[in-house]
Amino acid sequence: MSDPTLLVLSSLAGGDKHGYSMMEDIEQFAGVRLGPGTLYGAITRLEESGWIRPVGASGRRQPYRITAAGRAHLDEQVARLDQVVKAAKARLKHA
Amino acid sequence: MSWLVRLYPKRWRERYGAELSALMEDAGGGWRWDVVAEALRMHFTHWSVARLIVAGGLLGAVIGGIWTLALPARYASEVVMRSTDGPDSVALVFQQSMSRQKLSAVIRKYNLYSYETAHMPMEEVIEKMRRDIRIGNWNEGTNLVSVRYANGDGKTAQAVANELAQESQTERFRIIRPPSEATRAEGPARLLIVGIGLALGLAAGAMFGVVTRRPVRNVLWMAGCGAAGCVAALCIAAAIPNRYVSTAVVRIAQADLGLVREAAGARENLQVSEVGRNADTLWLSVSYASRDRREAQRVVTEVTSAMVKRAGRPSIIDPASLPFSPVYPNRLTITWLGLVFGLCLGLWKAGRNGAAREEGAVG
Repeated sequence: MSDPTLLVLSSLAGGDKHGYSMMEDIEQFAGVRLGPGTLYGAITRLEESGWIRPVGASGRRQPYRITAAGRAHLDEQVARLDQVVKAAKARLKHA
Repeated sequence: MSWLVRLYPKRWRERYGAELSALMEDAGGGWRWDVVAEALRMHFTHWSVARLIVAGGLLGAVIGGIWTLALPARYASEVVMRSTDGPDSVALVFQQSMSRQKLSAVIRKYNLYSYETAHMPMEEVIEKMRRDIRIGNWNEGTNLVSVRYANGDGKTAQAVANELAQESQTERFRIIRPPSEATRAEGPARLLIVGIGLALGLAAGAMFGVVTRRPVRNVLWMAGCGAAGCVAALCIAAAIPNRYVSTAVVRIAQADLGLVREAAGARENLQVSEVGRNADTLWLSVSYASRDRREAQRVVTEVTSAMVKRAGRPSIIDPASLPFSPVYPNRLTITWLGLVFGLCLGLWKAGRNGAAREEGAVG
């Protein structure tokens, strides 16, 4: 799983975070360190799609929160990934 | 604010610039290319379609310019010969100068196409040389034939053009203008290549803009307008009546020209023109345009028969043809124009959709 938008949504599903916290969190749970450009590209797309929104007073270290629509999208993506993982596991077992 | 953040579009910077700067401070160095690449992507995805078209056109023109600088210059030399024959002169010169035996001898003599000769069969090298030779009427309707050869070296082009012309020089052909000095490069057509680069860049910019912004809606607009343009053009083309042209070629004595023209009479849509001549003979083309292809053929047959009766001596080289396809209107061109017009209309509409959308978006 290396899609930055999915990684950001997964990180925010665990609670509100600002950019650097997201970078650290993603590295911890996915083993991928996103660059600042890539991370803010994903944040821009997610905010435009209405899947995340800024919270609290705006500042240089702005925290973001996943929205209900973002959670639904993440659910859908995770279900799809789960299906792929199950199919791959079953095939590996019978190979 | 870091200079890297300044690479992003202004409106994006106003919204996220401070946050990105803070993140770069926290994350430390080593992310330069990641930020530069994302800034470029942000420009491309947030530019208006019109801006993308202009940028695409400029990029295409620059690439075309660089491409032309990489292409080697070509020099051409031309020999002009006078023929004592009629319209078959070009075919005769062609036959004599373009023979396999002649060309392979010239290739060996002047050491032409050395790379190709080492890597390709001789037959293909000869084909390549044939593409560099042009034989044709020096001036339409005259008995002057030109032999032209283009090469990367001017002196070689001149020597080879002369060699090819010498092959044809007999009692039927006389060289009246020796091979021209090939001192000025005639190719590549740099302006044309830059123009093509510009046009392709404009088209690529437009397509990129349309496909990346609301792809389904914009592509549907373009397809719909293109189809509507095609249908409208087909309707217009169908409404324009067909015009067929039948043509015959006759050979007459020059002295009979007045009698023959008198026999042809003055009819609207009838054209009698000279296609070749020698000392005392003229070749005339007789053509007539009509909405009915059989009528066109009938009129040309009548006129050429009248010419034969009147002058007594003319002979019909090519009898009146029965035209199968109309010369006018060119429905394919009209349909293409309709399609291009429709696509431009769709593109304009997609651009307007993009502009309206951008008013409320970040970028």
